[in-house]
Amino acid sequence: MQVYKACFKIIKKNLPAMSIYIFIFLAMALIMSKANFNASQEMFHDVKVKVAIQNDDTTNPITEGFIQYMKEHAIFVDLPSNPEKRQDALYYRVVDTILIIPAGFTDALIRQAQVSRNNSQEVTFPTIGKVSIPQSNTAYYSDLLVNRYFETTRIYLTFSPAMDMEEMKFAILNDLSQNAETTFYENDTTASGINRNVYYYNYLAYSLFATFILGIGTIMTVFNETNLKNRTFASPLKSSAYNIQLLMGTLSFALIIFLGMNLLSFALYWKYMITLNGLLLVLNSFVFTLSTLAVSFLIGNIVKNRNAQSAAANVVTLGTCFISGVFVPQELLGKSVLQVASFTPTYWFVKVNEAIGRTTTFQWENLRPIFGDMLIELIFGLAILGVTLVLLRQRQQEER
Amino acid sequence: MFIHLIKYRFLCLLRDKQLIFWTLLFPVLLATLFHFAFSNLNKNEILLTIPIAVVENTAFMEDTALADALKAVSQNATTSGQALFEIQYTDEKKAQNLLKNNKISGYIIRGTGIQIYVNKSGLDETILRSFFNEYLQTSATMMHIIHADPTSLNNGFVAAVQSRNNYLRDQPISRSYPDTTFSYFYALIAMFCLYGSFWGVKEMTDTQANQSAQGARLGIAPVHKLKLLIYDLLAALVIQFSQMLIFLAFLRYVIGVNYGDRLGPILLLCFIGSIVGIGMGSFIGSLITGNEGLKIAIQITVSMVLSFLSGMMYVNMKYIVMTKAPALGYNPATLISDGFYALYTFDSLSRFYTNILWLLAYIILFCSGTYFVVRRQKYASI
Repeated sequence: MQVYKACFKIIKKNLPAMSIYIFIFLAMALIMSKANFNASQEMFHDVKVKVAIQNDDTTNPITEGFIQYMKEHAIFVDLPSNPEKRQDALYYRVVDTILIIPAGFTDALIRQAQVSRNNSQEVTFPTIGKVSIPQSNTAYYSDLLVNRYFETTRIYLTFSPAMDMEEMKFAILNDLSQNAETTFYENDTTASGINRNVYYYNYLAYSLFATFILGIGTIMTVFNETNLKNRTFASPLKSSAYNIQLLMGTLSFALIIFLGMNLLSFALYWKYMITLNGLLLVLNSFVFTLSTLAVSFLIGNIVKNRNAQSAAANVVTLGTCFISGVFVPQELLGKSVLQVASFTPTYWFVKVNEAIGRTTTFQWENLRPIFGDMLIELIFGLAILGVTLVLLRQRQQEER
Repeated sequence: MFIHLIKYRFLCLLRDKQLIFWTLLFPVLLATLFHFAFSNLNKNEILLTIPIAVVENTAFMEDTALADALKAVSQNATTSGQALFEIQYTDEKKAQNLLKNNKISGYIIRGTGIQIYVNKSGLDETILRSFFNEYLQTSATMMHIIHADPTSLNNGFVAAVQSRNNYLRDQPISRSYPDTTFSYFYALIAMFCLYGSFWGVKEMTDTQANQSAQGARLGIAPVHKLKLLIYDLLAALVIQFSQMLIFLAFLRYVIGVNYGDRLGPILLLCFIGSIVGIGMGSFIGSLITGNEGLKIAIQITVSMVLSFLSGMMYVNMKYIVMTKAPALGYNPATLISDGFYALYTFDSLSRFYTNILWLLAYIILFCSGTYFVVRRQKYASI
């Protein structure tokens, strides 16, 4: 058992370096658990853009009606006080559109409407200022809303000039409350089901991978050190026993990390985890553990230097996580990026997690692709393990 | 003497492969990954032509006004001249299939009213609905007015209702397109500057007699220690600033990050940023007398936390910090990334120079801090 025990001594000594990755992960998991996610929807609802309005005109039924109309269709954001702060808010998309109603706007609108009634020529109507993100869909939508309101107002002002202003405001708002009936052909599948625990498991790819590369890398470096190796070979310990102990050591280490991370997810998301989806997520993370173990084993044997190992841990984990959709969802990544990513186990891990999150009915038809992708994940691990074993065999022969 | 010391320090630093990895290659790798990961982020908010289907039934055939309106927006409807909708006229079965396979955002059926079928509540679907709402809403207005005063019909009513006016004018306040993804890269540049602290930490380890054999050897050399320290830091600065230029060129020409066109201020910011990074490293290196691993761990943690505050992991973090906890915003990383942001966004340089002044204050803090820790250190025995 000396070798097995030595594995844990090594891990214990290198705990600080590895705990960085676990702490980063914990922080991310806690932030994610606080974040809000869309609940599943059964009814269509309009998306609301974020709008701020500065009214330099008088408060009258027309501007009042406008603000009321916009409040129904947009989220009102506090108007930032100066241009610099407005720019900041726009840049960080805290607000999508800022509307500035200039002084005298209503009077000009009424005047021009009368001109257009008496005179069929083209009339230019007053405009309100807008600050928005050029060519964006949010800007287009808020344009639609604004023009819609003032176009209706113009028609009333032109053809019912005698109408009382308050009455006109209600007429306009009443007309604008007409909506085309909108239904889901199928229930919205994009927002439903993806629960917080899916994000948790996606982020797990980062910390599991990093701790494995560091932990197993360190164990390998120590045992591969020439003097120590020669001393072990000279001992009465059978080579097979040595190998089995080493294997058990690394596996136990991996299992402890795997169990710890999963226990945490049960602690944080108990309600989501004691479902079939939750159990499938655990199974998927186990498959991922096996295949990342193989990758870590390979890296531990190729990269000898300890410092280079920490560099490799960063490059490999950050690299695979970024292109596989851990930090940025897969649907936002380019096609070619995903094609490259499909050569990493992380890609399949994330893909399976999200498929599990979307699954609501557990029929073989729905589960088959999930198990299929898990199998690919596992085959990756086996292939890499195979490569490593061939590499080790060659090295052994060279040493002899 | 100057040339001799600087040359060997230079070689010494350049041969440290691990340091070159962390200070140059690692940021380059992150930038490449950011590029892959964030390149589609902006595409989500750009208005694209929305694919829809219209079920061709008798009700639709009879409604020529609706057909005309649809025709109009499937040509150039938006300010940039692109079509709003790409319309397929088909039967209901095919429309359902198209929607099922996500080929269209929704389809409509003209019956007694207008029925819209969609798959999700997105902005495209909202715009689609809003377009058909307009159709219903205008009809409601017309009915209302004709009901109140039937004579309005004589005054060119229909033509007036159908005419379209624009009630908006753009009032741009920014120098350039507010591209949020650039912010990730500005924060990355800030991280790059702070990773310059690797050089500072190494400098302290190598010159402090109680921390390395090399430091002990230097301690007995007949060179003024302050002079030695300044020369060494100068060598580090030359390397860090050159790497900075390489990194900026990589971001500009390979990744395509835009900093605006004011080269002078950009270089000034980079130069000051490099000094801040190295200064921070020396300060940490002199303050903490533990082993090198501990120093590096602390230095990486500080750099990462500050980069997080400046929005490297979550871009709105910088805005949240600036509005909710402004005091936290005066950290070196946020000041550097905000400097780039200010150069890109504003015509006025006042915000930029405010950031520069704060950074200069940090330089004074770090340098004097280091000086007071390492001055007059003597060792009776090590």
